Amino acid sequence: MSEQLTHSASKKAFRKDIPLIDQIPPRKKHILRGLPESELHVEEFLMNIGPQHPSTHGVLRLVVSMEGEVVKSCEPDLGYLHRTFEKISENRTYQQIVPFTDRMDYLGSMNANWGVAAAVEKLASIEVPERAEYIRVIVAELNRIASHLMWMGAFAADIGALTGFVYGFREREMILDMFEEICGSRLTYGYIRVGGVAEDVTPKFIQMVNDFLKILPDRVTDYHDLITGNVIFIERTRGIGAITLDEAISYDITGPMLRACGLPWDLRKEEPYSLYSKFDFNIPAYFNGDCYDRFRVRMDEIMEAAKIVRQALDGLPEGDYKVKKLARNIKPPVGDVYIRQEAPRGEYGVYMESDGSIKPNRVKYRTPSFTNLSILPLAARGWKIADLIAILGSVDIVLGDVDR
Amino acid sequence: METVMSYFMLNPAFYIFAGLAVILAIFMITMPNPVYSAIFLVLTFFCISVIYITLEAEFIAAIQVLVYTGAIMVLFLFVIMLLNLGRDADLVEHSGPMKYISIIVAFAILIQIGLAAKVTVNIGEKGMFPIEKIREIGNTEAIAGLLFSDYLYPFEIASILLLLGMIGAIIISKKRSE
Amino acid sequence: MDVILGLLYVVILFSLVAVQVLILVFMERKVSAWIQSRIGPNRVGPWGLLQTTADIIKLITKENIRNIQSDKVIFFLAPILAFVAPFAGFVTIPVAENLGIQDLNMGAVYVFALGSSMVFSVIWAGYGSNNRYALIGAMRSAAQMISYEIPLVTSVLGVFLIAGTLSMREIVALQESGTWYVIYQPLGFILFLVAATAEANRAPFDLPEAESELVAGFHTEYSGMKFAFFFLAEYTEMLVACSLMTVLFLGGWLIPFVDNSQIPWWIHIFVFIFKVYSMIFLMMWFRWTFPRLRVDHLMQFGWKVLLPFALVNLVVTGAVALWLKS
Repeated sequence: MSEQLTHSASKKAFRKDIPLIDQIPPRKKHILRGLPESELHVEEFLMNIGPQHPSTHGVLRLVVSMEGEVVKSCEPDLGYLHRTFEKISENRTYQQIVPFTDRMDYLGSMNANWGVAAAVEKLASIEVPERAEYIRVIVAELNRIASHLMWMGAFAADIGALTGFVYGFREREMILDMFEEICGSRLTYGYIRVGGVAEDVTPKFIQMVNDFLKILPDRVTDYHDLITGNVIFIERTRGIGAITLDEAISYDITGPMLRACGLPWDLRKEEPYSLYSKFDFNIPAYFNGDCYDRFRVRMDEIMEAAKIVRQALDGLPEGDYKVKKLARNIKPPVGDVYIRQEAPRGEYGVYMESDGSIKPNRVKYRTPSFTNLSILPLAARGWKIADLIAILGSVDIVLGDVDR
Repeated sequence: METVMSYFMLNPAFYIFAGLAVILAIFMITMPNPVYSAIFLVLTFFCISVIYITLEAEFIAAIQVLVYTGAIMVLFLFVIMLLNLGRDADLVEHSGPMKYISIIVAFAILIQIGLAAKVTVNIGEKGMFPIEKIREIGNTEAIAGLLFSDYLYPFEIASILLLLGMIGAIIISKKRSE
Repeated sequence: MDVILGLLYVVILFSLVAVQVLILVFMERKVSAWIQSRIGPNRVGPWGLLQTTADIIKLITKENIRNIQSDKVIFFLAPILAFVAPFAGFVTIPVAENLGIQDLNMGAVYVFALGSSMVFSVIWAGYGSNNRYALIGAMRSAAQMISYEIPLVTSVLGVFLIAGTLSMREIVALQESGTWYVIYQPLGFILFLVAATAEANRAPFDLPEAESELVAGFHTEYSGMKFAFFFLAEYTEMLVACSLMTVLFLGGWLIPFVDNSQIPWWIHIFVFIFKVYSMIFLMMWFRWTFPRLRVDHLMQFGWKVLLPFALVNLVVTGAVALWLKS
């Protein structure tokens, strides 16, 4: 029986050198198993968190080995949402790839679209009109705000403050309404396309953004009152899951998680792509690398993103919103390109290799959620189960982005 | 038979719950599963507290539930669950002759108690605090008065013992975590 | 005859409590919606009033699912005890001057005793359902309830010292002069409020059922009517805790600065209900504002903050009471 089990389990494993994690000991052999003569002895027991669990933000499975309430080790088991996007992308024309990226980081779809569009444009040397670039910056930063708001709500819910959850959604809803106004869709936009954007912005959209920017500072103050200053919240997050800058760099952590460790690394400042060198904004950074600092970094980033949106909206030039004449099937010259951008969750990279045909030869996405999740076993070790949930929440994973 | 009935009519609630307590106690010791044993012990405690109520010692009844079921039995269950003894029937003992000896001793004690009880019941002597007096001064006050006057030293010694136990437990658990 | 009367009382009490719980669940939804700037239930019946009824019907008709490896008897008993224990606590609570089922001369202690047996339902539910989330929830609950019972009881000892009685009715009668015990015992009141919230497993102390960590904690495996009983139990417990607060600290059915003997009994009932509901609103406000505590913070808070304060409160009250007497 056991031999059979091992056999079928080994079939499931993608790599043989990774030890199997499916082998959970028979039931009721956990917790404390009798009192040995000398002293109390605590036996570890395995607990599955997910794939169906309220706090794994999708279908992530964590195999947690616990000693009482303390997490001894935690192993993320991925792949429940794997949809072979890289392979699919290799079998589509360059313009057809864009809508698939919506389904990867579905909370930052605009940024995901943009990476692919920028990669194709660089590969095929397509010049994008300035108005289109402005619109891209506006929607991408709005999406960053939406993503961070959503994260704030989800994180608050992970900590147990359910009201924060709904508040986060309230303002995100306004942004979704704006996106619905310009592209008709509320989650999977496909708005930023190769050669520009799908539709021009409407005056109503600009009005909506203006209204939103007016109320946002008050609302963010509300969140700080509700969440940031709360004693229980600080107790639950300060110092929890702290990682050092060295660890973060060696694990290739990017985005707000890295900036919470003290390094204000942001591709919008370090390698200004698109129009970011034109705008005046700061990169917030804190130094403890714990959940609390990750929270503060993201909250500050909301305000910085709002600043960028304000400037981009004021400087929005007239002109075309997309390249007028673009071939139906783009055939870029042979070569490869790697584009990296600052998505809400960190560095989002797109590698594309062209063989001169209408389809890319090889596509690879470097998604921030996946790399950031890799530090979870390190960050969660030795913390309590409640902290594990908080740390997982603070990583800000999107399972579509992790599994692709 | 008639005398039994007359005893019963004297205080039916007492006999019902006393009988129930005995039956539940038997269940408690015969259950192979320690979790069930704990449940029956809890029920036994409830019956005993009802007996206290029939004696109009309501305070003791409440304390019985508060301390024995609410605190001590919770810890029992806690330990049983922690040691994972439930359902595994690890506790079944196979101790041949000891079994019969203990049965004999148990019956001897039962007979002794029965004889002693018979004597006391027949004499029917009233103690220092009959029901009439309790009704007058209230049973909480009566207990408090006794505890803090006549039995002050035993009371304090008991609390010091408990404190010692507590400190000992803390030291043991500290040692483990180090 | 007594038995029939007793049963009648139980039936009346049960229907009253059930109706209260229906109202409370609706209130919780509307309060949470109001705090979260939502609308809340508004489809079933006028203003969504029948939403809870619809939910109860759903729960009754739902299939009762039982994990095949769970312990049948314990699994079945847990939700019953969960409801019965707080429900029985109503017996001694006086709603108006002569309205209340039974005035026991140690009424408050009786309610605490029942509250302490509540913990069994949680432990049994956790143990019986043979689920690791449930088991952890049960463990947490056992630790939490034992830890918070001590400050809970200690915080009201001050009231008993001042009143000199344990009978609920007498305690209310002693507050007749207009000075509620909350004025004498502000610290005791706050401690009691916090400890009672923890004892009722309400947020921010809802660790046994922390949904972001333990899915649903001890009642993860429960569905249908059994789940409904846990639901009912939580609100019943809240009702009992808030009624106790009202009686012990807020003068029960009394209206301050008014000659209460002139006021008809039915107004007293409304006053009592109003006070209870205000306290319940406070508890709901907690729930929808605060994040959840972590398990070790909870223990530290109970033992290192609540208990010392409760003891100080007790000692100071006792000293002052002695000083006033002499």
